[in-house]
Amino acid sequence: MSREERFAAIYHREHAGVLRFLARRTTPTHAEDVAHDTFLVAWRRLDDVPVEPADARAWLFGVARHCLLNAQRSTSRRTALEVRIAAEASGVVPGHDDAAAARVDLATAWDALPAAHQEALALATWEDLTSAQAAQVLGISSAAYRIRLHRARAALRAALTPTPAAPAALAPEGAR
Amino acid sequence: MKDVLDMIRPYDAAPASSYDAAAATRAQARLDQILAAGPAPSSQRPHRGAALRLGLRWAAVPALAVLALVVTVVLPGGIATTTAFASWTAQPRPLDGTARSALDHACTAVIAEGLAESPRVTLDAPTLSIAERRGDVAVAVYTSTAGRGPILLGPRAESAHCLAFVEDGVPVVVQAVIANADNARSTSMSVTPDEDHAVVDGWGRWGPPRGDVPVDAVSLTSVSGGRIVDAGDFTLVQGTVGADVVGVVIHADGRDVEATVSDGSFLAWWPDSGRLGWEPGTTDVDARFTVTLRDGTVLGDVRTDEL
Repeated sequence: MSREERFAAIYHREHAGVLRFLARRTTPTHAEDVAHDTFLVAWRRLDDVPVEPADARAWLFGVARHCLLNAQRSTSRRTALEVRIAAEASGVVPGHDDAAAARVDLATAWDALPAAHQEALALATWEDLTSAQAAQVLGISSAAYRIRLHRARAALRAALTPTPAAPAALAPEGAR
Repeated sequence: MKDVLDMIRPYDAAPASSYDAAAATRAQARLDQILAAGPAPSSQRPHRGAALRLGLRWAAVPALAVLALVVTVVLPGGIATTTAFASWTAQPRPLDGTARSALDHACTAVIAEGLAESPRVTLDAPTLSIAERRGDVAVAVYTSTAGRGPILLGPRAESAHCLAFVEDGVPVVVQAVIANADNARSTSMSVTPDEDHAVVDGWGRWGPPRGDVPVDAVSLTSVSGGRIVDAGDFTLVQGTVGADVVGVVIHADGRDVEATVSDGSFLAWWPDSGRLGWEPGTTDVDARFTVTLRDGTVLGDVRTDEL
């Protein structure tokens, strides 16, 4: 297989995933431009692209994230990318009051999360990466990613938990 | 409550259906454009987020030198504060059951990453010998009977300890240290995966265990510590105990700290920066000990070389 053939095979296999990865983090038009930049890097560094498809995908996500961060650094000093969520859940019939209220709560809680937490959750949920692969995308160790994901889950869970307006009594906190 | 990942999963802003035929057509045009330009002459490597890369730093030092665990971490924004050290208690609480398993699981994963990263330290068939908790901080100690060093250098010790903050009942590892030591030198590495609580100004001294600890005595094997961002300084002392020793209290830095004694080892730590002046292979340390023996005898306020 020639270099061109290998690259084309990777491109056809991974382009949709890379574009969707970016579309969760920026506008659709910008996502296509950054996806193009990402595959330009992959073409220049074809020897560095892992052979294993899952690893190649994580490698491409890492490059895509870096390209997007670079593009956004002209306007701000970011180290993490905000991730968007959809206005409507797929497969859910809109209009039910409870569902609508839950969606609003989720959207509010999600928007309140730090970008680093959104990234950790998105990599585990929509990009469906293992801890090692997600860590590679973020450029951190697997352990650091697991910690970040743990804190992100806890933060989202806490944001979705209703706070009692007037607790009757507070339990003592012990030794703290 | 449903798992939060399951809750957000349906709200994908870029579902598979968003990649339609028009997108595929544009993608093919972009591919043709890339291939038409030909390969670039050089390999331009993007930054791998060096400022965000945390974790593995290690150093090898002579046995009598102070080990500096050089972990320089500056992360913008989002640094959490902690009350973990404020909750410290002089009396440890042993961890067992699921709490012990959870700590073991978390620590083992981090230690494995450290071992994979550095071939210069080893830890064969480690045994979790101590798992304790003081306030919101849990510590695990692993020992190994494997000795792979040259015979002429005497006994070689492989050990590890792991310090975790307990958050919502979940141990989050702040630091794991793997150390190898014989009579000639010690080698250690520190893994610090928690970017919110990075360990800076780390230090430590390790020595091989004495094979001849009297039944009513204790022997130090390591003194280490550091400063944890948004938590503070800590000092951690480990050693071995004689067969008749069931309790150890360390008097140092103005504190009386009860050690956890288990499986022939002891562990104590406290939130302060005292280094105790200990050198591996010696029994000279700026601390005094109270040792309780199996028959109830208390040997009070003595130095290790007096035991």
